[in-house]
Amino acid sequence: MTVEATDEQLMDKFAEGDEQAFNVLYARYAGRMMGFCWRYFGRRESAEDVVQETFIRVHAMREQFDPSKKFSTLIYTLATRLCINARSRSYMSAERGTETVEDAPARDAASPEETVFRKELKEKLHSMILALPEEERSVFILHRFEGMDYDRIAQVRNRSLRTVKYAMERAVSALARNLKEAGITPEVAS
Amino acid sequence: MKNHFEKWERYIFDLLSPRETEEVKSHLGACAECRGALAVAQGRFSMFDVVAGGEVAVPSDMLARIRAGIDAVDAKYANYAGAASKIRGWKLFLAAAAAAVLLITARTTWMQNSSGPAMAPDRNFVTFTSGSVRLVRAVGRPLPVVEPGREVEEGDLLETGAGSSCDVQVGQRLTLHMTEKTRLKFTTLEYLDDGSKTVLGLAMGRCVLKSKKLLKNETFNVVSPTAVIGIRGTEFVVDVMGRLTRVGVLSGAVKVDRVAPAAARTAWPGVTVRKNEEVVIGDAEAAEVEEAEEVTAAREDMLGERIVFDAMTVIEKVRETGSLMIAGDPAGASVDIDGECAGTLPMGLSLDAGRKYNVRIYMEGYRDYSEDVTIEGGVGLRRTVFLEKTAPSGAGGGGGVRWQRKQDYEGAAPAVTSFGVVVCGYDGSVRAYDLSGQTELWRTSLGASTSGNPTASENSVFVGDTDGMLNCIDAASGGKQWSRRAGIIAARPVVSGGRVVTAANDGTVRSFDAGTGAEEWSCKVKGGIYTSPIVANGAVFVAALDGSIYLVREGREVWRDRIGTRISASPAASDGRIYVGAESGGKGVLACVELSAPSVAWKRDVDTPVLLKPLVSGGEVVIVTADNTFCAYDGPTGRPKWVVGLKGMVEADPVLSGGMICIAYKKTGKVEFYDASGEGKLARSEMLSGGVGAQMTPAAGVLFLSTRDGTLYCLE
Repeated sequence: MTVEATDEQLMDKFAEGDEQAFNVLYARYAGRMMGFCWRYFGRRESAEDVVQETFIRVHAMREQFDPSKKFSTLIYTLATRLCINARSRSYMSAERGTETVEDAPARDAASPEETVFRKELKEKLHSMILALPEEERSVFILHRFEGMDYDRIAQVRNRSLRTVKYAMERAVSALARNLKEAGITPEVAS
Repeated sequence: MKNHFEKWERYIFDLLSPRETEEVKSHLGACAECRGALAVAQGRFSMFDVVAGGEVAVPSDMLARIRAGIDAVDAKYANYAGAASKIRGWKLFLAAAAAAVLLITARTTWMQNSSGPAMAPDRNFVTFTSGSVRLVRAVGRPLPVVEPGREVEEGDLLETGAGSSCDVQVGQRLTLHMTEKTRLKFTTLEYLDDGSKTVLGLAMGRCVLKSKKLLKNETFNVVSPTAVIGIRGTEFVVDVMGRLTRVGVLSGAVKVDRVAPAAARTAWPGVTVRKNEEVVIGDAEAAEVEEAEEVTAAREDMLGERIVFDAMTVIEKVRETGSLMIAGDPAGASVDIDGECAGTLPMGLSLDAGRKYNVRIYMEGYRDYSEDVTIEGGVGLRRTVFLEKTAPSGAGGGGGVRWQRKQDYEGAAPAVTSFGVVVCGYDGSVRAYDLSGQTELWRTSLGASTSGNPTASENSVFVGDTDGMLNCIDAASGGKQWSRRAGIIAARPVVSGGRVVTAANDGTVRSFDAGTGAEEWSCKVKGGIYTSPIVANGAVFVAALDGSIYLVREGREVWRDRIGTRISASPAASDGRIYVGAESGGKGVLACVELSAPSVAWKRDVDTPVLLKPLVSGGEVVIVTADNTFCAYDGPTGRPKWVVGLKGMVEADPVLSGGMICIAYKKTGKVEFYDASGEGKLARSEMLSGGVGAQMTPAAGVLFLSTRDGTLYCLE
């Protein structure tokens, strides 16, 4: 197995029984999926649950994967659906709130006060994203943080392009409004 | 400084149309204020980048946990596949369904026990397939063969082929049955913070859907090319025929809207279709217009095309007209509407709403049928009409054999649904014929021998088998809707108020949701039960082999009384009373129980045991005793009224059909019709090709029965 193989080639090999290919895909995507799910949930534990289930489903779908499609679309589709559906579980309701995960190390020059301020600001901003309805949140995160264009998001979310854009518009309008109400400006943040 | 553009986020996030984007760009080149405003907006949104952290460290044991999860799932699938491959024929489905349930349960249990990812409470999976069922996945290759237990994901498309069917459990509250040649897309399956949302796109074919009452924050819609059906807890059928959508409600009510922009939906607020009503939504000349958001998205996803529809004229048309569908026998009989020839049986046509029409159906050799019907807008009216023959047939004159159909097996009691007559063979085969007996609608097999007689609701047939399962079969397609363990059911189950109540030979009484098969309660009484229960006043009465009758309410035995030493005949209910025939020390007894305050109102000793279900007619209780005596008692008092000696052994319960008491002989195959108001006066008789051992089924003014030589009869 060479690391240069594309995701789709790896899935093909995996479908033929090469379990090592699955490990390579895991190595490529586990961190990315953890980041995506954490940003979606704001909770590490929940993110881990969904990432775990996502890979179990990837494994189960190995023989159904269409190599002409992108593997990343498949895994984001599975993860997004699991994220959205997992949100409704009762145990999730007890997990409201956010936790900062993998904060970047404080800058050398940063004072303790500044570190606390940045942590609080990050939590506030993340809370605004988490407060978005599921559709809007998923589209915003996929676009802003995962770098997907709307066509790709439409594939991942199984929505029309128009619906995706509507969701994004609602998301950014809500975020702009919330920023204004919270009095958070770039000047304050800096 | 004036900001000329209010919503910079639309520009920043590329949400403007190309033309608008060009206009803003052009404006920005000339407007310093707007460039400043844009910079502020961009700065504001760039703050969110602090949330982005790229990849996040993964726990070191994550891969091991995933592997453990995969092994658990694979093991369950292997068990399922292994079990299925070992079993042939009828056992295949039961094993598959059981394994599917095991799989789901085990997966969920495993997820919960292994500190792995907790599973969403709502799963969507196929519970039954028959024939050719294909799954086109939103991601991945299509699955040409779908097995029970297969999960359905959002965006997946299920297709059934000719003669095929498929049942799907959608979340916890919805079940649906797809009949043949149906395409259904699971457009939205979401469980959100504030509730769940389900949108199904029915592109073609027919679905029977049943939901339990949805929670306040749950929405469930079925979108067809022309209609949006929203429900809160009901059972209904959706037929999609090209650009026509028919919605028929079996219980509860559904709200039906058109697929239209929000403005148009406001102009026509939709229609609420209630039980036993149907509405047809269609469109005529199409004109492309701006689409509504979500509905259009569902439709686009479903058909891959832009929504096109006309103005409101079609809805007005629908409201201005209603449909009349007439089925029955004999096929080919002429149908006149208001004196003008409209066609022949069976037929359907659209008529102006709000008008009364005279329908006349006639054919040489038959008595004319005439009825005035009033057509309601957007609502379909159905009539099933059997013309009576004018020529006498059989001894005594009148009536006769309307039709007969030879089968290759001995049938149990027929069951009559709105689609036709269903006959279960003792070998487990099940066949359905149209009411004229000319066309076999479908055939299927239970997989096990039939344990008792079937019962029909309008759209389903319920029958027990010798594996101890209660089977629910779709009357339209023959597809098995569900199958639940219920013990050996020797007599007909009872359908009442959306429930199926069964009584098994081990004395267990069970109540199931008729739509989903979910067991609601069970209760075990002392004696075994070989009789049909009676559902009345919210309670269930059963007569058991220990000679007692029991009153069960919501799974608890609340009353019992001993009538005799043994009861093997089903009780009969009428006018707030239950009549029970029993054996009592080698003799017989007939008892009357008051339902309101359960107590035995009267008891009458009979010379020989009462082994058949009493028949209540015009205030009289008629019984057939073991010595082939046919006698009547006054219902309220139990006073004997008249006695007639029969000419042989009778095994089928006497029934009332067309004002006649029908008695069928086990050996000779003779069926006698006694005038129900004539104190046991024989009106006529009919000689059939074989003896009658199975129960008879009166329906729609005729009598259906199966003879021991395998002939299904429809008698006048």
